[in-house]
Formats: sequence, C-alpha cells, structure tokens
Amino acid sequence: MKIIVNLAGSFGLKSINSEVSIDLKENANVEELLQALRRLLKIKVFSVKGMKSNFIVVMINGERIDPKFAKNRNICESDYISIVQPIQGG
Amino acid sequence: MKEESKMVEKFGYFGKILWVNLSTHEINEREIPEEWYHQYLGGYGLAARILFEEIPFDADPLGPDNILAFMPGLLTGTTTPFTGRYMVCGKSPLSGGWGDSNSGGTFGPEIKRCGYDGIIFVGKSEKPVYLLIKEGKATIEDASSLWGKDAIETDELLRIKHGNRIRVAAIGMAGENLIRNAGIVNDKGRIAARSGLGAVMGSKKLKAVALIGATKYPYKNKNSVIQMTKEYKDKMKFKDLMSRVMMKFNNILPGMMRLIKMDLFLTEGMQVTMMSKYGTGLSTAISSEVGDAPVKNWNGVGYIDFPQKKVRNLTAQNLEQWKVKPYGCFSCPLRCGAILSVPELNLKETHRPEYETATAFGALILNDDVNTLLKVNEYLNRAGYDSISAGGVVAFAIECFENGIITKEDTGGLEIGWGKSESIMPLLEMIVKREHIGAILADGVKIAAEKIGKGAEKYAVHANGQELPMHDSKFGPSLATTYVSDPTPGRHTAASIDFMEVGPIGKFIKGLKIPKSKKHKYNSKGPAQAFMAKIHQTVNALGFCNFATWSGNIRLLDFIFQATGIQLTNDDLIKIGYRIQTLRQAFNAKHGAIQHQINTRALGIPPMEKGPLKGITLDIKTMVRDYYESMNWDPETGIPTNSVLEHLELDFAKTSLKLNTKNTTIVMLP
Ligand code: SF4
Repeated sequence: MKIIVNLAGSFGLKSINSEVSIDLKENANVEELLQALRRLLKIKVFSVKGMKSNFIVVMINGERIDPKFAKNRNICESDYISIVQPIQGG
Repeated sequence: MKEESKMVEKFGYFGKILWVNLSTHEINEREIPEEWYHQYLGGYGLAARILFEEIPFDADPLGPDNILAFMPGLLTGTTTPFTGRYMVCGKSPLSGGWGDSNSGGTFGPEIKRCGYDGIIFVGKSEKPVYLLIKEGKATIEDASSLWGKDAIETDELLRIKHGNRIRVAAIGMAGENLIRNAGIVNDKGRIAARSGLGAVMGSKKLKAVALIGATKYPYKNKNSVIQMTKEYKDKMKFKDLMSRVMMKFNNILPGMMRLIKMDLFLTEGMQVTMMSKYGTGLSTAISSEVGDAPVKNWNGVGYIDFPQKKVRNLTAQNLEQWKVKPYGCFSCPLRCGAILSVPELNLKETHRPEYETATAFGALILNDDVNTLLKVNEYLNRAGYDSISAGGVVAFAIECFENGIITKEDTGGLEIGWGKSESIMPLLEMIVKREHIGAILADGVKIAAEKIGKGAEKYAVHANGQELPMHDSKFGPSLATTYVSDPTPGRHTAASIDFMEVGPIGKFIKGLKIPKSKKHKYNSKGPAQAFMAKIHQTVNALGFCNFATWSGNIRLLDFIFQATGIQLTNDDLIKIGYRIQTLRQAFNAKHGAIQHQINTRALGIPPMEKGPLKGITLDIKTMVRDYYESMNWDPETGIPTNSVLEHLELDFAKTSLKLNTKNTTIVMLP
C-alpha cells in the first residue's frame, strides 16, 4: 500500500517540511513505517528509539502514538500520518 | 535596604525618569527613591510602583488621566545577553486593568543612553506631537506632518530629519484611529503589541518618541560584565556546535544521550541552533499538528481543517527563500529575527513573520497563502496593529459571517470566509480605517460581540477583553490559568508552567527549585504556577527576553551585582517577582478589573471530538483557585490580602483596594 507521511521539523541537520510517499506491505505497523522511512531518507532518528527519546513524535489521525505501541499500531492507506519534532515556538 | 538586598553604591540606574505632561507641554525630571530599584528593579516593576498611585481608579484608558510609561529593564543597556527589552505600561483599553507590553530591538537601550530609567507621559496633547531627546535636551515637537503616516514611514522621516542614529517608537494608523488592539512600533518592525497601548498613545496624540542619547550605562564593574558576556557567548557557540554534531549523528545518539544524561543539553543547543536560523516560525507546522496552535477560531482540528500540505506554506523553512539577513535585538546572542526581500510583492525589506503572526493568519483563519501572510505582516507592522489580536478579530468576523450574524451589507460588499485569503487584507484595512463593520471590530472581539449581539459572543475568543494568543490552553493547561488570571490577560508570554517547561527556568537560574506539577492533573498546579508567576516578573523587570530562559544557564546574580551593585539571592529574586505580580494584581483590584472571563473554547467545553486535544476539558476553577491560594491572595476573588501586602511592603496599596473591590467568580463565555 502507498502511504503519505507528512514531515515537519528538523531531523538530523535536515529541516524537512514536506510529504513523502512510501510503499509498505498491507497492515504494516508504526515500527515498520519508521524502518522504511529510515531506509529511504537515511535519517536514523526515524526509529522507535527516536520516539522514546522524544526526537520525533508520530501522529496518526491527530493522535500521538505511544512508542510502547509502535509495534501494535497498524496503519492503513486512509490514515493521515505525520511525524514532527516536539518543539514549541513563541 | 530591607532584607532582600544589601546596598553597596548607586550603579546601574540613573535614579530619575522623564515626566512629560502632554496637556501642558511641561517636561520635568522626577527622582525615583533608591529603594524602589531594589524592590522593583526596572521595566514594568518600577512602572507598577509609579502607576499604581498615579492612575486614578476611574481613569478612562483613552482619556487624559491614563499614563503611558516607556520603561527599559534594569539591565537593559548593558551587554548582559538577552536584556535589550523595554516595556510599555498603562491602563489597558482592552481589559480596563493593568496593561503592559514588551518589545526588543534597540529602542530600550536608547532610553538609558538618554540618561533615564523611564519616560512617562501624562495628560493629552491638543495637536499631534512627538517627544525628541537629542543632545541631552527633551522637547515636544509638532507632529502634524507625521500624523497619518504609518509607523515605518514615521521612523524613516524622523531619521531623515534627525540623523540615522535616532531610535524611534511610533504608532501607525491603528494607534491614531484608537483601534483598541493597537501597538507601538520600534526598529521598523518590532512591536510592543499587546494590551492596546498604541491606542493609549494615539489618544494622547503622541505620534512618536524619538531618542538619541550619549550617556553611558553606569556600570558598577563594566569589565566584569563584558567578561561574563563573552563567557556566555562562548558557551552558547559551543552548545550550538555540539548540537550540530549531535544532530548530524543522531542515528546513534538517542540511546547514548540517555546513557550520558545529555538530553537537556541538547535541547538547549538545539534551541539556539534552530531559533537562530528559523526564528519562532520554526514550529509553525508542528504546532498546528500537535494541538498547540488554535485552528479555525479554536474550534477546528489541525489534521482535518488545516493539514500539513496547507500549513507548510507558512513555515519559516518556506520563508527561507526570501531571507536576506538575520538580525537580533540589542545584546542578543541568539538573534531570532530576519529581514526578507520579496520583490514579487514589492516588499524590498520586510520582517520575517513570527510564529504568532503565521498562525493567527494561518491555522486560525485557514489561510494557506504565503503571499497574504507576507502582505498582512508588513501591513500590521506599518499600521502598528497587534497581529495576535488582529488574527483573533478576523477569525471572529469570519465566523460571524459564516453564521449569518454579519453580512455583506455590514462588510461593504466584501465576502469573507474560512480560507478566503483575498478578503483578509481588505478586511484589515476596513478595521484600521474604521469603515463599515470595521468600526465595530476595531474595539476588539469582546466589545464587538456585545455591540453585534445575535449570539456573536460565542465566537469571541478572548480573556477579559484581550484576544487569546496562538497557544491552545487545552494543549498547555496552565496557559488557561495565565490567560484568565494574569493581570494582563490573554498573554502567552506571561508566566505559565506548561509553556515554560519547554525550557526550564530552573536551568536558566541555577538553584531554583520549581514545585512539581502534572500537565493534566488540575489540582497539582497551583504552587508551580505561583512560583513561575513570581520569577517571571523578575526576569521581565530585569529586561530579559523570554527566550533567554530557554537557552541555558546564566550567571544571573553575578550579572546583576556587577552591573548594578545590587546584591541579591535567589530568594530575593522570587520575593521581588512576588511583589511585582501582587502589585499588578492590586492595580486590577483597584480598577475593578479582576474579571475572569474566558471563552469556553479555550477550556474544552464542550470537549473536542477529534484530534490531539480530543476529550480534554480543563478544570479552570480549580487551577485558578489553587494559584491564588499559592499566592496567598483571596482564593475566590484574587484580591491580594492585607497580610500579603504587608509582607511585600505594599502597605500603600491597602486603602486603594478598598475603593473598588468586588466579588468575582470565573465567568465562562459565552
Ligand atoms: S531571542 Fe529574538 S526576540 Fe529575544 S532578544 Fe533575541 S532577537 Fe530579540
């Protein structure tokens, strides 16, 4: 299935505010999504470890995914997925 | 002086303010008692001490009895990092209570270079005037030819007349036309925006304050301050470098950082690195996604109503294409500002929109057109119109229009609506010129809703008359406490724990112990909120920018001592802040302005059904009550008790409070 991921923030030294399209197997979970992204973009902070360390926040349909459930949370094509850097402006 | 400081010698302040009577055109110097600097430092602390007694409780904010004060922080004018700020203070035409507003740039230090700790305007001029201080002499000058010019033109014309060294704070058309959300513009784009003090300036027919000074800051030990500044900057450069290295190798770092407990260090470093590159707009896209940014007049959901493909047009990253150069306020090592050049819009030189503006004219009204944002930003800087409130007013008007409460007849035929970018500039111009419905919207959403009726108050998102900023309190619950109970309501830059937890103040000032609180445990927050409210006042009164507190440790007590000779402890810092906050609150009690009104959308009543803020309802009554209790103020009314006033040497405030106190309960609107 084709998944669109919205990226917002600075990941590594790369500041990314764009979407990427990625091919995943049906019913892939969040951990698999991050692995695929990591391979595609060569940014290794896209990982469950990165979620746990608060480098990234993964949100699906506006809800924050707890890294503990990254393996259990399956994704489908109609999901709105975003990965953001957890910072706050002024 | 008293228990919180030991006087050494008089350094760090001039002991006088300039007192300008615009009714009589008399100009005097007034001496300030020395102990006031120890008790209130500078900035709005000192202003609160002066204005509390000088502004009568029944003063009309837009009448001659109101007073307008321009007050640099105590350390403003020194090289101490981040301290180039000044505050404008007076009675707010939005809330009817204490009003203050803060701006950076280079204007604040110039007040000190003129040899004053503040400039205060009383009365009201018959004709437009400006104050000029040049070659040590203060004069009131005719401003008839400047009236009607925008704030940037005014600055440029005064530069032509008096030389490029002049520093100007001016109002634009918004202040002249008494738009209640008007601000005061300095450095052609920094703005003391909140509290509507540009309208107070306009009501006094004071077009500008123009300063060229040559007085040196009276350091106690200049070399020490310069040395400490250098050390701070070196440390900052090192952090910046480290954060770049860490970010580059962040593939291995998450685990490693936990091991070596360096996560906070990285946070500070990243803060410096990212803010200096992108400014506050670095989080524009992120905020609308996670629920920090209010969407669709506080009633929408980011991923549904304003998804990333829209918001990313407005981010600082997208604005990079037009960036010409970065800039910063006086003495700032971070330099979060930038100048853009956008030839296609005929904007040769324009300030980069801040996060607040990009969200107020983005997610809040569903505008995704970056050209509109750039034009609006420039227009508001020129008009001298607070972009937060302007966005709130536009959102209110749109929602009223969408619901048939106002129609094309009211807007002079203009069709407005969510995401209708082309209608935003004409609507703003209509407000600033007070044409059609603009004449009503010019008073801000609270008064406008009262005048319009028909249920419009439902869409008026404000606290005590001031439009709310671009941080949803359901995302940071203690912001709601701040919005509704701070003496200047509806401010994200007033003290709040959830917001400040991003860059803990405990790191900024070593040895501070912040009481613990849990984000959504509403009965856990009072002591932390009170603690933050106190320390925040001190930081402001010293002249610091809020972003200083996010940027790591500073030798604060040493800076204060070496600049001013005032020896303080951390406990003194807290007590001074407590005194300032209590006096600002006492001002509101005196003026009958402790109101506790807030739109229920900011509280999650009813709760949102989707998105990151789904199901959240804030227990505002508990949060506010616990905060008041922790301040030792009356928990029901918020009025400072006599015992607190005595403890803080504010006895002079006791009788005034009796003039106009009334019971207040939290009024949730609509
Ligand atoms: S961080 Fe930005 S707003 Fe604050 S003092 Fe520096 S340049 Fe000014």
